[in-house]
Amino acid sequence: MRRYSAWLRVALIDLRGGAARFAILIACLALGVAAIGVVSSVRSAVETAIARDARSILGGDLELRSARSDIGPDVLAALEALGPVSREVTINTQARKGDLTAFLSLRGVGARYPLLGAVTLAPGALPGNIADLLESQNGVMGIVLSPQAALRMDAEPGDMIRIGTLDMMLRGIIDTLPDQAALGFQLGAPALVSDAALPLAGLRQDGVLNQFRYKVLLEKSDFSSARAALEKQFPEADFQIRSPRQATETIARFITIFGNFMLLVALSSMMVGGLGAANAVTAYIGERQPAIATMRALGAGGHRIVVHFLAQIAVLSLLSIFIGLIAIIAGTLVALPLLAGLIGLDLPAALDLRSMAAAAGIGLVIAINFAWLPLLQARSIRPAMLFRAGSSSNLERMSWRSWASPAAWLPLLAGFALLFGLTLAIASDPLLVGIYFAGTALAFALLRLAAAGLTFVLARMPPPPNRLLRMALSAIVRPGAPTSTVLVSMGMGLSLLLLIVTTQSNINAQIAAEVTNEAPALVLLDLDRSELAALTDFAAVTPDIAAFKSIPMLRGTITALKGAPPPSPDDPRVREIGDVFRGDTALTWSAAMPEGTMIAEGAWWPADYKGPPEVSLSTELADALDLSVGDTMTIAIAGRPLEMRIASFRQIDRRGPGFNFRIIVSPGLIEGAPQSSFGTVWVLPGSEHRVEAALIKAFPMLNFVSVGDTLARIRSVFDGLGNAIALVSGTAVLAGILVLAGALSVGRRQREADAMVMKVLGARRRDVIAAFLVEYALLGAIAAILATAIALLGAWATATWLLDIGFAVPLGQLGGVTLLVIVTTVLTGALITWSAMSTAPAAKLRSETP
Amino acid sequence: MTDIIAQTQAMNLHLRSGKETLHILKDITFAISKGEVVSIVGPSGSGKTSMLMVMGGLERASTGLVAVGGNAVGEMNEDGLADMRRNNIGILFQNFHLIASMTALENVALALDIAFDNLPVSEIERRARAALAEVGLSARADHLPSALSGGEQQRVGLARAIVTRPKLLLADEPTGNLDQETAKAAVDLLFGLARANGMAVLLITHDTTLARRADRQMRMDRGQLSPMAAVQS
Repeated sequence: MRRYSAWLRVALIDLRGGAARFAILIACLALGVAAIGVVSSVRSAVETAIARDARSILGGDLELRSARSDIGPDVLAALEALGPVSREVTINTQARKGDLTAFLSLRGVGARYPLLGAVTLAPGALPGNIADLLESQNGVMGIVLSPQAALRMDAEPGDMIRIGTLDMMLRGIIDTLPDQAALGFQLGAPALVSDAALPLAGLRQDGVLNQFRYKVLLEKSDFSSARAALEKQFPEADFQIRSPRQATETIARFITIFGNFMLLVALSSMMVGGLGAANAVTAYIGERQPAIATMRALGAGGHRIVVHFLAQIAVLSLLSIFIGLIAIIAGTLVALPLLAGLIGLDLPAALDLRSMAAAAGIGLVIAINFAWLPLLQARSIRPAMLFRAGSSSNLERMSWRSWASPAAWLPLLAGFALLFGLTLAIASDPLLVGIYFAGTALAFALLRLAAAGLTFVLARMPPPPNRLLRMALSAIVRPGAPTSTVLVSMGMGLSLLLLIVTTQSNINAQIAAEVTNEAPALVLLDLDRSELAALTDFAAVTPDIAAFKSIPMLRGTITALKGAPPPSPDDPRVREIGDVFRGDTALTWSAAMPEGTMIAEGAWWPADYKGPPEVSLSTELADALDLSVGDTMTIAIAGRPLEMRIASFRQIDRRGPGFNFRIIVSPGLIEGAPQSSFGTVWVLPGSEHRVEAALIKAFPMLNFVSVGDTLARIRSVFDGLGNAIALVSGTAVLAGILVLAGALSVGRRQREADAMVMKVLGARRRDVIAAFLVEYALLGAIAAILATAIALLGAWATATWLLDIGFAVPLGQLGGVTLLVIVTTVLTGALITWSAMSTAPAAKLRSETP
Repeated sequence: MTDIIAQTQAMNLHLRSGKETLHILKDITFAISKGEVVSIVGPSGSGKTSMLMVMGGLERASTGLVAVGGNAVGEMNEDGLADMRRNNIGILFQNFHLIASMTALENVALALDIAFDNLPVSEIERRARAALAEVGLSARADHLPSALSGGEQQRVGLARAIVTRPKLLLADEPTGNLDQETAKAAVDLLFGLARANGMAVLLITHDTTLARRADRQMRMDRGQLSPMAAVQS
């Protein structure tokens, strides 16, 4: 022990005055530790908040939800027997102020809302609690709107807003809702009114996209027994019951998946930083070769040399980790309040020690693992070099025999296993972490191979006639040039950024494709026969409406398949399509084959078909249920069972416009069954809001979805997620730039020597600088090309296999990022060159004398 | 012959240079005894430094025997050679090879640190200061090498070489980078300290005047070692 403390003491003495040279290593490691720690801490805080506030997020101890139609008084009475009940109805509708409209997901809430937690309104709201604000005051009902909806209508508290046929006063702008996180994605902008206002506004409460929710504060029983009692009492009822935990499962799962993804992006920044650390240590050991040889000549063994430099690296790593931990504290304390406002969760500014410990551990393991090979090379430095003149500061390559020694690969293997374990400790998805490690190793290997291949080819190319290009190429391929280091480290960070840029662009392109002329501007819901006729007339006389189409919609219960009872919706074999067996399911009928239909098997019935009922199913039903053309399916519509022959299977393209009913019935008997219709409206470009306003005026009670608004909301969600990912991946690029600066400054001595020789030989200063800049521009361009190739491969795999969206190359964005990288490389190189050029030849020559 | 500190018998050193094999040292049989000062002179590239490196276990002989302190060097691995050096050998370099990040005192202490595992820090410092005093550099103990003149750096190198009281001091052109006056002072000091401590010294030099001050003078020519007297005759 005493021996090791003596070794450590000497190592620290030897480090003195040299810490500044490790600025890049320290910055790289600190940045990586901070990125991992902040992401992990924030995710942990969100997960803790979701688990802690699950009751508030649900808004009670039990939620009973019914889609399309309200529950009966007997169910309500049973709920009220369990404890206080709060009712709410969600309707998609339009709000109007003058000629300005906003598409809302409007919640009509009872006086008890919220049972748990509190609604917070932005400053400027009218005084009173939320129940008072929504109730009638002086005969005027109140409404509170999300900031987006208020902005859209240029409305502020005190303004009058028309909903359906009712004018209501805007009494506040929503800041946070206690149950916001459990609502999931909403088609329209959130808004609250009293449920008493809905009938006054003439809004139809039963509707295809409408939801009825009842929240209960259980007083006499726990969730399980309450649920069991309700299911026993109402075995046939078509409602769903959720506990707080179930209500938060989806968002918790999303946070976990997204958090894991962000953690891996942050880990990439750490990996790139590790490359920087490896470069810095290699350069350091290279320059310390005479000192190492001296120590060996004095009798120091290889073991001591390793301990000496390992101790120095450990000390520097701990310093970096300390800086990283301070950054984690600052970053977490800044990020949590910002995020709390965005997602409507109470996120107290607290630190997550587990995340900090894991980030610190990952930093230390990466630093030591990436420094291991140069340390081994230090061990093999022989004192004989002290007697040989002209030794270079470049370390000799490790021989294959050295590689074969367990001392070389065993610690590396153990280090990466530890790294895998530490990553799993915070990103608890072994498959994802496994894919990430494999992908990173593949990207690293590809970059390394490409760099080696490129150097090999360039070295064998005939020298170009241009002198600057010739000098630049020879500098890139000469032994000891940092070409491979720069290409790999820049390439790793850059390929990650380009992968994210390309994927984000593909997602946006997919969303944009949905709002092309092919997609309708509006979808009208729950139209009865008279409304359908009136709307058809309205469309005919409204010049802005390019087309109006409708499709009938019925609901039915599948009661038999091939003469046997259907499977349970919870049967794992039919999990993907289980919802069609849960209560009643949506279906339509059609004489003509819908536009764009692809028949996979069987044939569509003739347009004038009058025979026994037939049905066309989606191929996913056929596959899951092992059905064939000619089999039978019995569907009860309005209580009347209809046995139908399966006539065909259709391939459904969910990415295409229009409705995708899994079940389409042949015309005939079904036409007389109770049904409503969907209407779709195509408008002339730029007239969406005009048509919306006209439609609200003519049909104030109509429920409709504004496709453009909904897609804009989807896009804003993806943009938000994309920006968060880009922010974290930006740290990887920053790490890449730091590594680049480090790699180039490692070559500074060589630059000084080159510059000195060139100047002594009579080269002008601007020639020397130009030669270096051409070299850096070439390096940057090559790194960008390699990174682009790897990023496109990754983005293609992500689009095709993970997201199932179209793949396109965003040339403009890729070009922009590539240009930025080349400029950054040239600027970094210019700074290094400038510093090298400032050394006068005489000073350099004098310093060469011992 | 129990006083022999180091010896070689029929020792050859071959080095490969590309496809060519260079015969650096040829069939050398040589011994140096306790307290003896032996100088080797010869033209550049004759193999003097290689001879020194082989004696110090810094280069392995291709054939023949090399023994230091009674142990055959050829059978030792790298760590064994390091142990052998720290127990038996001190080295003085032409280019001093002081560690730039360490003060004069720390450079000297480093040799003690490496040689003795369990020596208390206070004792290491005491002995290092004493060694610096022996070379007349007490006042410069806390200076970094960059603040010392060439002569001073060589004296620090000498203090470092003798502080562990090695049995054999290998000196490679110790005055090669010093002016005449400084060189004479350095050599006086080297010989004085070696004799006072009973150390054997193997001195490589171009300087025949300096070589003559040794107890025995040898000449290296094209890898062959012979007594100076034989050459002169």
